[in-house]
Amino acid sequence: MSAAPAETPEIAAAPGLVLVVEDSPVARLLLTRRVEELGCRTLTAVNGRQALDRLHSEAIDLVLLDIQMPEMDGRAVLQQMKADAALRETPVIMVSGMDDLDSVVHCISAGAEDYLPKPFNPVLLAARIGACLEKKRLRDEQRRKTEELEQALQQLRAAQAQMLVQEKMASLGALTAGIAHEIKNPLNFIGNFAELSGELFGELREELRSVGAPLAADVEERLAALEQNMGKIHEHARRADGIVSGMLLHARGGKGEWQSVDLNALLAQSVNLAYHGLRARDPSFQILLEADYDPNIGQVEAVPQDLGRVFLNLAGNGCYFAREKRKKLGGDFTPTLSVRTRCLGARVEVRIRDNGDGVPASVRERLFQPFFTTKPTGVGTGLGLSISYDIVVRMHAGELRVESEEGEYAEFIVVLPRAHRPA
Amino acid sequence: VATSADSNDDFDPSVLDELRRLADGRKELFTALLAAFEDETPALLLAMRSGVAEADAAKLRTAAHTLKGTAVNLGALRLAQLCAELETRARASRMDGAESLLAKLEPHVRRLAEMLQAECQRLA
Repeated sequence: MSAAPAETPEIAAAPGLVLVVEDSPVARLLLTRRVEELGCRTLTAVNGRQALDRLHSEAIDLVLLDIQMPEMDGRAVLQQMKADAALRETPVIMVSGMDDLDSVVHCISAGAEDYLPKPFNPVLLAARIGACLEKKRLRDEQRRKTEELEQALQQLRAAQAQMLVQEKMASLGALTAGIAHEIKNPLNFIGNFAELSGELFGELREELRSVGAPLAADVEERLAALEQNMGKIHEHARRADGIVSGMLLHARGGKGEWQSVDLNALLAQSVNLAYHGLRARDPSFQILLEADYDPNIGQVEAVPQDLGRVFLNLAGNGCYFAREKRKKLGGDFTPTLSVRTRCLGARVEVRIRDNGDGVPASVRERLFQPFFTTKPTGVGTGLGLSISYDIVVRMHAGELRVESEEGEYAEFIVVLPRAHRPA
Repeated sequence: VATSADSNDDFDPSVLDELRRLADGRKELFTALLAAFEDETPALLLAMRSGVAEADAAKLRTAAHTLKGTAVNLGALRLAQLCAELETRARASRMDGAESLLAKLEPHVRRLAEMLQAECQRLA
């Protein structure tokens, strides 16, 4: 005999969306009505298959599942839910006649949360649904908190690692800047004296001619060779000076200052440095460098050390992946790095493109995340692009994105506002 | 709880009270219950009859079980009891006497429909 208390049973817990699965229309109607009376929203399903469809399309908090149904019964639905990672956590209360206790036991051990005997006792119904929804709510909350904590931990780790790398780069930068500076002085002497010495040859010839001393052919020949050598010394000293200047620009430690920057020049210097950096480690490395600089681009307000680091990084990546493809394909493939700038009015655009294997769609989303790398262990830190992203997006209020066709190319696009507005 | 064949004991008064409480003074619930009952029951009766005629115990058992559930939900004690008896017999494949049980059962189906109709009218 069923007890019918005068007062309306209520659930203290937050109401949820309850799926009522019941083949008999009368039972379905009554059960739905009772559940709605508890403050819950309801959905119904008349058989197991429909129940699974609803479970896949809606965010359901609790399932009231009739055991005996034609076609696909409650046990089969429960079994499929438990085998499905997306539905496994959704609580299920089995609904059964008193004569079906064996099935109830089976379902509880198969993962059903609880059961409700027919005919329904309203108090029992309210208590069990309430307890189930409350448990579900707590579980959801716990999962959300855990996810938040994991995310926070991940961010913390990333920030720590970035700080460490920035710190290392800064001290390495200071060291490099010191050395570069020390090299620059003697390099200047070499260059300048080579130039001066070169000029002396002209004067020497003039002197000899004016005293009327004809020169033997072989002396003339040696003189010309000497002059040529002097020219070479001068030329290469200038080249070395260019590289050292680039190093100085990139490596100056400490906080960078905002200044008006010749973007084309900064980019050219960075690309050059990236190329030389790779050449220094692998003398056999060759790459075709294509440059298309928009002469109208002019000055951009930026922190050159940081922005240069972005270009260095993107160009370095480009060279690396083009080289990898060359290793794979062999001689017929020409690794190419194309660098392009374009004036967009108040903004400027830089495109750095390599013809390596491109960025697979599957990794594109994680590309700018810290520690994400596709390079082999020990080659990449997985921090280059995340730091670049920070510098371009956070610091310079710009955009950094990638376009790629797998197997064909990867193109990194940096868009920067021309003027700096301090935050 | 009534177990005799007396027609006064056809319905469980506490279930009826609970249904009335759920209906909350409006006829919608009973109208919907009546529609659902009239939608479901004829096919069940047909299945039970052909189950008896064809000595198809499984068919009879399934239909009797479903009708029993509906009867229990609506507090129709006698109907539920007769369905349970039929179900038990069918489960044991004892089909003798099934026909007379079915004949006894049919008036109770009508009475249940009448009860629902009466509630609809009372609340109209």
